Amino acid sequence: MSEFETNFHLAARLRAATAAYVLPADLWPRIASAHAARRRQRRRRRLAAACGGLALLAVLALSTSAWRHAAAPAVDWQARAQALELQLDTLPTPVASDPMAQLAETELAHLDRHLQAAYDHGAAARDLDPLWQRRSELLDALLSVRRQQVLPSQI
Amino acid sequence: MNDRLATGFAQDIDAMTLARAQRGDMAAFEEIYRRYGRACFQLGLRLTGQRQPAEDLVHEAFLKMMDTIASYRGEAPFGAWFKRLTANTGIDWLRRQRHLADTDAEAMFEQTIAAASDTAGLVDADSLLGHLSPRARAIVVLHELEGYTHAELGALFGQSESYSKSILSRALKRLHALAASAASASQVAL
Repeated sequence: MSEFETNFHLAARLRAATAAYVLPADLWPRIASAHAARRRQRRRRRLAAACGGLALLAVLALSTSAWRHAAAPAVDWQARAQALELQLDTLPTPVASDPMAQLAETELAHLDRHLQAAYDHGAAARDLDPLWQRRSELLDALLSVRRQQVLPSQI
Repeated sequence: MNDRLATGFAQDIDAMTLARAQRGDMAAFEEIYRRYGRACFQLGLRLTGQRQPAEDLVHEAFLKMMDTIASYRGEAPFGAWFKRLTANTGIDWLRRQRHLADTDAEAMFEQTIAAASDTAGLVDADSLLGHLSPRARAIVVLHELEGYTHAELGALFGQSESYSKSILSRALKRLHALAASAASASQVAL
């Protein structure tokens, strides 16, 4: 018998040897259940990854915002208020006082007392800053009222 | 090939079942199992020589198939694609069991001499295969029964083509010698 024939017979015997075996009945349910478990696990991992990603984005957004806030140049409200006061001094004093200007002047006087008291008590810069900011805003308002009063007299 | 006459991995699946399976439909996977499960199990038995590892191999091969079927593009018939996946899973299994650690052909055949000296019960071809080392057994099964080329086997085992040829030639000689001595032993007994 040639080598090809003997190999052919051997292959046929090998095929026949395993042909009799049958699949265990519970194999498919086990595979299906393992597949379902893997899918659930992957879904959980994807969810965890998505949550992690969102948390990371939130942290990044917060830190970026904090960085921007920290990087923004701080306004020197005291210097600004002093500059506005100098501008106000250059304008002529109006003959008739405007009610808006009166209100601003009253609040300015009140604020100045507050500022003085704060300095007397050795207040920190973070407590003084809001007072200087408010003073700048009042001086801004007063300046715009005065400028409007000046314009008609120039015409 | 007429699919009604085809068996094992030579069968094909219809486009609808394939499309459903690619969408993850469990009923479609079950249909694929009904069609290819037995062929997969038989290949596992031939490669491992034991029932339990063969079951594990079917289990693992089907899980892999379910994970990767979405990437199957139909370049080869589905059965051929799945057979390759099963064979690769079998090789991975043998590798994990460290059955493929010894790559020296001489040493590999030396190890099986003692086992081969007992020729009783070698009428069964499966027990003949049991007298080969796992690597030689896998090469015989994949080349002689599954149609793998030596180039493919060399690549599969991380060896050269001539290595696969050498192992196959020696393994077949061993099998023929064992079969012949088993046949003469049974004649003496009669």
